[in-house]
Amino acid sequence: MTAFLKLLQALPTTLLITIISISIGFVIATIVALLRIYKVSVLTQIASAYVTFIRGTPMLMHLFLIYFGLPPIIDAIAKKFQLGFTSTSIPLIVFVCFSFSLTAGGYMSEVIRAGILAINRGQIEAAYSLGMTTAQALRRIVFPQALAVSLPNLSNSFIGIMHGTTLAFTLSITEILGQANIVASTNWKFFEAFIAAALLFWGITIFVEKLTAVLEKRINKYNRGGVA
Amino acid sequence: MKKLTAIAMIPLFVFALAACGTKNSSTNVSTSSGSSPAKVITVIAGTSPTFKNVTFIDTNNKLTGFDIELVREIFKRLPGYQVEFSQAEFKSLLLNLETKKIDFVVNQMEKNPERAQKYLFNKEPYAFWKTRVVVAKDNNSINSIDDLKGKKVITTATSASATLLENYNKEHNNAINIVYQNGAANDQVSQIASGRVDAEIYPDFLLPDQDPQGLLKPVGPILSRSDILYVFRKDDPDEQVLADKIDQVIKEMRADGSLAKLSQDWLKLDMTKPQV
Repeated sequence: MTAFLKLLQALPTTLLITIISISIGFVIATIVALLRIYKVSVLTQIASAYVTFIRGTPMLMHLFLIYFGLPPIIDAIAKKFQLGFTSTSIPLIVFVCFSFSLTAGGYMSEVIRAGILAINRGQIEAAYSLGMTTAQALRRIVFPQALAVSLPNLSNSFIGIMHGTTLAFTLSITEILGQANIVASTNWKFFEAFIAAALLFWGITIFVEKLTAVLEKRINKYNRGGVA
Repeated sequence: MKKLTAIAMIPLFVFALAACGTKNSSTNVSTSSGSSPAKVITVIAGTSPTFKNVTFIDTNNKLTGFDIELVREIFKRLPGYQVEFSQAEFKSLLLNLETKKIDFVVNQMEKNPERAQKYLFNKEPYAFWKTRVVVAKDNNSINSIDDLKGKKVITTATSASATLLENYNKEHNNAINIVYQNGAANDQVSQIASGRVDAEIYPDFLLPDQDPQGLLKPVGPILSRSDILYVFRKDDPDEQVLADKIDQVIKEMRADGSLAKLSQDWLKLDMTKPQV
C-alpha cells in the first residue's frame, strides 16, 4: 500500500509523456495520412518511408536513436549559429517525448488513414458539388466521421504509448515502473511493487477505455441518421 | 572503437607474452638446477573467460588476462604443482567446484559472508575492488561523498551503488539527489562528462572498462572495499594446503612488486593495494 502511494508520485510523469507524445503524434499522423492519401509527390515517399521505418523498428530503438543521435546534431547547429546552448541543457524528458511522438505518429497515421479511407469518396464529391474546397470538405465532412471510425484504434494507440513510457526509465526518467524498481530496491519486495504498478496501469487503462466509450457516443450522436 | 582498442591491445599482448617467455626460461633453469623429480600434482582452476583483460580469450585464441597470468605465475613459483584451466559459464563455476570438476575458482571472486559460509577462501587478497565517488575529469569541487550534497548522482536501480547512496541519504536527510535509471542505455559516462549529472559511485576496478576514454576520475576516500580471492572447497585438507601455499606466493609477489606490475600491465592500474 505504501508502495502504491509512492508510485502515485510517478503518475504525473507517465501521463505527461503519454499525453504530449499522443498529441504531437496525432498531428504528425494526420499530416502523414493525408500525404499518403493525396499522393503528394516526393512527400508521399518520405511519409511512407517514415511509417515503414517506425513500424519496422522497436520503440526502444527510436528512443536510443534520438537520444544518442540528436545531441551531436543539436550541438553542431548550436555551435554554427552561436545559439549559446548545448544539448546538455535540454531536459531528457524532451528527448523521450520527441521519440515517442515519432513512434506514436507512425502507428497512428495508419489508423487515421484507414479512418479517412472508410469515408465514401462520394461524400467529398457531394461536398465539391456544393462549392466546398478540398480543405472545407475534409474539415467539415470527412474528419468528423473519420475520427469516429478511428477512435477505438486511437485509444488503443494511447494505451500502447502509455505502457511504452516504461522505457523512459532507460533515460533516467522516473515513470511508474521505474519508481516501482526504486521502491523495490529499498525493501526488496519486487513482486508487491510490480503488482502495485500493474494495478495503477490497469486503472488508467480502464479510465481511458471509459473515456473513449463516452467520446464515441458523443461523436456518433453527431452522425446519427447521416450517411456514414 | 572496438577495432581501436584491439589495436591498442596488440603491444600489450606482445609485452605480456614476452614477459611470460622470459619467466618461463628462468623457472626452467631453477627446476633443472634444483630439487627432486618429485611427483607433480595437477590442479585444475575454473574460470569463465568473459571478463576483458582479466580472464578472456585473446585474438590468438589464448586464454589470458590478469587473473590467468597471475595464476600461471603463482604455479611457476609453486614446486610440486602444475595448473590447468577449465572454462565454464560463470554460474556453474561454484557448482563445478563442489562436484570436484575443478579445484579452485579464478574469476575476480569477491568474498562475502554468504559465500564464506559455503566455501573456503584463501587469506591473502590478490586484488581489491574499491568503490569510490567518480566525477568528470575536470571537476575539482567534489572530493568526497559529503561534497555530493544537493548534487545529482546517477545510479542503476537495485545496484550496490544505489543501496550505498540510499543508506547515505537515510542518515543525511536525503542530501543527495539520486538519479535512477535501468542501465540499459549505458550512458552514465556521457551523462557525467556532459554535466547532466555530477557523479556516480563505482568500483575503480571496473572504471577503465566503463570509461575507456578516461573522461572520468575516481575521487575521495574508499566507500566500500571488497577482497578478491580464490575460492576452494571447504573441509578438504588438500584444498587447505593449496590455499595456504598460494597465500605464501601472493605475499612473496606482493613484496617483490611483481603482483603490482602484473596488474599494471593488464589493467593499467594497480588494483592490488588495499588503499588508494
